[in-house]
Amino acid sequence: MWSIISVALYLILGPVVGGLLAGFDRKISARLQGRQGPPLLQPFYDLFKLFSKQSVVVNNVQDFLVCGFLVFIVFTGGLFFSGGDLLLVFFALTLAGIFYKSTGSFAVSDIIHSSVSNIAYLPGIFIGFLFILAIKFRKSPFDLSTSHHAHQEMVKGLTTELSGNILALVELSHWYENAFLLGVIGLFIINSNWWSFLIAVPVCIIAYFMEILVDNTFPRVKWEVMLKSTWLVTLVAGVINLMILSFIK
Amino acid sequence: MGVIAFLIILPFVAAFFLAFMKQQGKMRDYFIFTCCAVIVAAVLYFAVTNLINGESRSYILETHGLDTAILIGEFGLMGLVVYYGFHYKKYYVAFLSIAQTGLIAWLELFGKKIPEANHILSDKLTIMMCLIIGVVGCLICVYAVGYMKEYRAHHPEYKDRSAFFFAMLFVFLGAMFGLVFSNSLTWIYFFWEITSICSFLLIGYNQTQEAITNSIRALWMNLLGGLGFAVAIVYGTLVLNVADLHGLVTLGAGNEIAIIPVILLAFAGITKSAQFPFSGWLLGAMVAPTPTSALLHSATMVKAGVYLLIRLSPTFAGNLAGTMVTTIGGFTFFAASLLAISQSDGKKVLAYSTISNLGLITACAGVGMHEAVWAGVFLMMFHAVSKSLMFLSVGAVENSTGSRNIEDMHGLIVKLPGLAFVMIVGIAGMFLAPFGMLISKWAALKAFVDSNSLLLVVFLIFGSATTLFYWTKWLGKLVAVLHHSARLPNTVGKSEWFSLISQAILMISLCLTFPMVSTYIVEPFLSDMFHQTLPAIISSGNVNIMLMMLCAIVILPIAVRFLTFGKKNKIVMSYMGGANAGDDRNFIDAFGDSKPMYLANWYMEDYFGEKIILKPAIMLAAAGLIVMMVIAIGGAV
Repeated sequence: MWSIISVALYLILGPVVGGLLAGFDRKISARLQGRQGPPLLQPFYDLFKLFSKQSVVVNNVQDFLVCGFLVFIVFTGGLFFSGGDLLLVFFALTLAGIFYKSTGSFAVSDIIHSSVSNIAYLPGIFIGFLFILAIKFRKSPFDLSTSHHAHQEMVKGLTTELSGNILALVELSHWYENAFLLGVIGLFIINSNWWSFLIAVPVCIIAYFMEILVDNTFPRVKWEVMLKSTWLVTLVAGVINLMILSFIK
Repeated sequence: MGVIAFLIILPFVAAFFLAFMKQQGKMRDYFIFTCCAVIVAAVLYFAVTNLINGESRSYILETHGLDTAILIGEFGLMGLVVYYGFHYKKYYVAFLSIAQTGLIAWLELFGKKIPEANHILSDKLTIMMCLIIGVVGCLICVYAVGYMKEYRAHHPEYKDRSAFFFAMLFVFLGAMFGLVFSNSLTWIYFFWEITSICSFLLIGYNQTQEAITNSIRALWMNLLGGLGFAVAIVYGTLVLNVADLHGLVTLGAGNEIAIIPVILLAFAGITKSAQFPFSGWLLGAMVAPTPTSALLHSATMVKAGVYLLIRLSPTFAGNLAGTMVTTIGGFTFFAASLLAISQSDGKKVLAYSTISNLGLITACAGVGMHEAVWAGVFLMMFHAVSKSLMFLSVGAVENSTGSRNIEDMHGLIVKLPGLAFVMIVGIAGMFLAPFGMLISKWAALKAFVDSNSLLLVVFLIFGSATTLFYWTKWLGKLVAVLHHSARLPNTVGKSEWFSLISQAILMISLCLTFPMVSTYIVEPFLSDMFHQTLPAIISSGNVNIMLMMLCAIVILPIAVRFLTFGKKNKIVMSYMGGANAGDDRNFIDAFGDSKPMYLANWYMEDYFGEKIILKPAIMLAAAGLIVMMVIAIGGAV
C-alpha cells in the first residue's frame, strides 16, 4: 500500500519538484552571475509554451525514441520509490552492488529500514556519487554540450534537432530524472527513524546547491578529462570504501 | 542410451558422407537440411523425455572395447597433428601432440588399471548443452548452405573446399555431443582433442598465409590446454584413483585433495574458452568464413571450455584454483570489453565481446557458489543464441554490402530493414535491460558481492559500463537514418533467412521463458551439483518487473502510434553544422562547395586501442596465471 502511494506521489510530484529545482537553479545561477534572473516558475512557462508549439521534426522516429526515454525514466523512478530492487533500478549496474554491501539487501525498502544511515558506511561511495551527479545533472565542468547556460542555447548536443512538444517531453523526462537522483541521495541518509527524513531533505537541497555552485565556478572540461577523473574518483573513493567495509563487516 | 549414441554417431556419419559429396548442388543441400532436421528432432526428443523422467542417469560401466577404439582414435589424431606440424614446419605442435597422446597411451597400456566409473552421464546441464549444440549448431549449418554459395561467388580466389568444410562442421557437432555426454575423463579428452583439431582445420579453410598462421596459433594454444588435460588425467588416475569427471568433482568439493588435477583441467578450460593470455587464437579465427566463427563463438568450441569449468565449479569454492579462475575470468571480462570499444570491424567487436562474456562465465564458475553458477549457465545460454545470431547477420550484411565494418552499417535500418531488425534483436539480447544477459549479470554481481570478492565486483562494474558503451555505439549506427537512403536489394538466401529468423525467435522466446528454464533445468541441476536444496535465486517480484519491462518495449511502439495519432508533424531538413545543401545529404562548406555529410562513431584508439591495451593485458594475465598455478601446485605437492 505504502509503495503504491509513494509511486503515485513520484508520478505527480516528480515533475513539480524537478521544475521547481530548475527554477531555483536558474534564479541562483543568475544571482551568482549578478543578474536578476527569471521568475521561479519560468521553467513551467517554458514547458507549456513548448507543448503548444507546432511540432517540427526531422524524422518521425524521434517521437518513438523520446517517448521511450520518458517512459523508462518514469519507470525507473517508480521502481525506485516503490522500494524495488536497486539493481534493476540502475540498469547500468554501477552503483547498486554497494548498498547491498552495507545492508545485506538490494531492496530499497530494506535499505531505508536499516537502523543506521548508509552514509555512515559509505562515505566514499557518497563522494563518488556526488561526482557523477554533476554529469547526470548536466552541470559544468562535465556538461559536454548539454548545458542550460546561454552559451549553449543554439546548438545543444543531442537535442539540436528536437523542438516543440518533443523537446518538452525531453525536458519533462529530465525533471523526473532529477527528482529520482535526489531520491538516491536521500537513500544515503534515510534510516528506520522518522526524523532521518528531516535530515535527508536538507542534505538533498545542499547537494543540489553545491552542484549549482560548481556549475558556476568551473569551466567545462574536455571529455578525456571527464572520463579519466570520473574513473579515478569512483575507483579510489568507491573501492577504498568497499575494502574497508569488507573488513569491518 | 540409444538416443545418446545416435546423437554422437550421426554427425560423424553425416560428415563421412559429406566429405565425398564434392559436387555442390540440390542433393547436398537437402542432405544437410535432412541431417540437421534429424539432429534437432533427436535433441528435442532427448530433452523432453529426460525432463519428464527427471533424474540424471549414467551408463556403460565397463567397456574395454570402446576404450581401445578411443585410444586408437587418439593415435589417429596425433598422426594428423604430426603430419600438419611437419607439413607447416611447426615442430612444436607435433611435439605437444606426441607428448600428451604418449602420456595417455602409457597410462592406458602400462599404467595402473583405470578405476571403474560410468563413461556416460546425462543430467540437466547435459540437456541444456545438447539443446545449445543441437539447435544453434544446426541452424548455423543450415545458414552455411546458402552462405558458402555466396562466399564462393565473392571469393573466387580461394579453392572451393566446401565438401570438406561441411564435413568438418558436422564432425564438430558430433565431437561436442560426445564431450558433453562423456563422464570418463579420457573420453572427454578424446572429444576435446577432436574439437581442437577441427577448429584448426576450419580456421585454415582459405589456405592463405594469414589463415595458416592463425590456424596454427589456434592449434598450439589448444594443444597446450590438452597437455594440461592429459597430465590431469594421469595424476588423477595414479594418485587419486579417479578417472571420471563426476568422481573428481565429488572428491574435490570442499577440500584441497584434488587441487592439482582441478587446476590443470581449469587451465585447459581457460585455453579453450580463449581467456587472456590465450585470447589470440579466437581473434585469429575471424579469417575463416562466417559460419566457422559463429560455430566457434557460440554453440561449440569455446562453450566446451566454460562447460568444463562449470562442471568443476564445486571444486573451486574457496581455494587457489578458484581464485585463479575468477581472477583470469574477471580480468578478461574487463580488458576485452575495453578493447572492443576501439574496434570498428564488426566481427572483431563480436570476437572481443565473446572473449569478454566468456570471461564473465569463467569468473562465475570460479566463484563456486550456486548463485554464481546459476548466472554462468544463463550467460552461456543467452550468449550462445545471441552471439550466433550476431555473427550470422554480420556475415549476411557482408555478403549484401561487401563490408562488415560497423561504420558502413550506418542507417542499415533503411537499407536492409530485415537484417537490421535481426541484428537489433541480437544486440538487445547481448546487453539490454529485460533480456537475458542483464539478468545474468545481475545475479553474477549479487554472487560476487556475497562471496566478498571485491576485485570481481570492480571488474564487473567497470566492464559492464564499457560493454554498454560499445553495444550502444553499434546500435546507434544501425538505427541512424541518413535521409533519402535507397533500400538495397535483398540478396540473402532462403536458408540464411530461415536460420536468422529462427534464432531471433529463439532469442525472444528465451527471454520470455527464462523463469521456466530456471525452475525446470538450471535449479534442479544446481541442487544436484551442490547436494542441497537451494533458495530461489531470482524473486518472483523481480521476474514480474522484468516481464513488465519486456511488455513495455513491445507495447511502446503501439502506444506511441496511438498517442501521436492525428498529430501533424512538420518534416524539416536536418541540422548539419553548415547550411544544408537542400538534399539532406550534403552541406555547404566554408568555400561554398557542397560536401557529403558523414557521421562517424567514436573509437578512442588513443585510450582503448589494441596497441595500448592488448600486450600489457596478455603479459599481466600470463604472469598471474603462471604465478597462481605454480603456487597452487607447489603448495599441494
